[in-house]
Amino acid sequence: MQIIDLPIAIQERVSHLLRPILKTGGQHETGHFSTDWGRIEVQLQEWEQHRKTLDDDDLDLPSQATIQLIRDVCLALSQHAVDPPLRLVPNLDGGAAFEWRASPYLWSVEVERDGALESSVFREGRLVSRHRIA
Amino acid sequence: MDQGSEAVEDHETLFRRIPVACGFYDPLLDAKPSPIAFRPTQQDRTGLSIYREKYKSIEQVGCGRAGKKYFVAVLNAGDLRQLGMDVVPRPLENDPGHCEIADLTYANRKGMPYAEWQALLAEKLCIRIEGPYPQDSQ
Repeated sequence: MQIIDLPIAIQERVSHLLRPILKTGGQHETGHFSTDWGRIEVQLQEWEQHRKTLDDDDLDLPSQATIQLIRDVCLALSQHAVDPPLRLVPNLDGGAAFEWRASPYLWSVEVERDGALESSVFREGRLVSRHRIA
Repeated sequence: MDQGSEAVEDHETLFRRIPVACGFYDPLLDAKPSPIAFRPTQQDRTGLSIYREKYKSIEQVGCGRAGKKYFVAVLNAGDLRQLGMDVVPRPLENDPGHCEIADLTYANRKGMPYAEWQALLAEKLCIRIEGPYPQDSQ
């Protein structure tokens, strides 16, 4: 896995993280840009307001501070004209993962509780690339 | 031999429980689940928990905590082994059908090949997903 030097601002971190993805064509390829990031914001609000619904077994859910971090990453991704993800899910470790599918590729951007970002691209389940900003 | 301690055979069907509330699977969004549905939690110290059909029905596997709903992913032991994973019996008290994907642990979850295994389970090895359970009539 390639580890990239730490830029401070989320916007800058996301820019660094997206560079190799955009080069290799792993981005969602719908041919249009959707501004439907609002449903992700709705989901984050649900996470904030209904933690008990999500609370299950031994899942480690994002804290309020991490949800704000995820929100910042959302904003940065949308400002980079990235399409809204297929889904946003808890990563079971106090963070969350955005996922996009452009078959046969699956691309994820994981936001960890400490602010680290990790981008992974899979093709039919096989890892093609992984980059991390920690 | 204790019930459930015999080797898992290649032909066996296995089940993995997926909590509905986390959004790891939504048939209206995508036919495939998120790889994180197969990510170990801190409780998975020796392997990822799955269940053997020979001991537990899919409906029984889908019943977890009270008030919670679950999908159940259907897998085949031989398919997992073909891609390098091993399935080992790990019977629990009152749960002889409990087994594990060996070495897919919380400590290993980000390393290779274990990160890739999670994607393979979601993208290639998941035969189908049923549920959610418990169904309203159950």
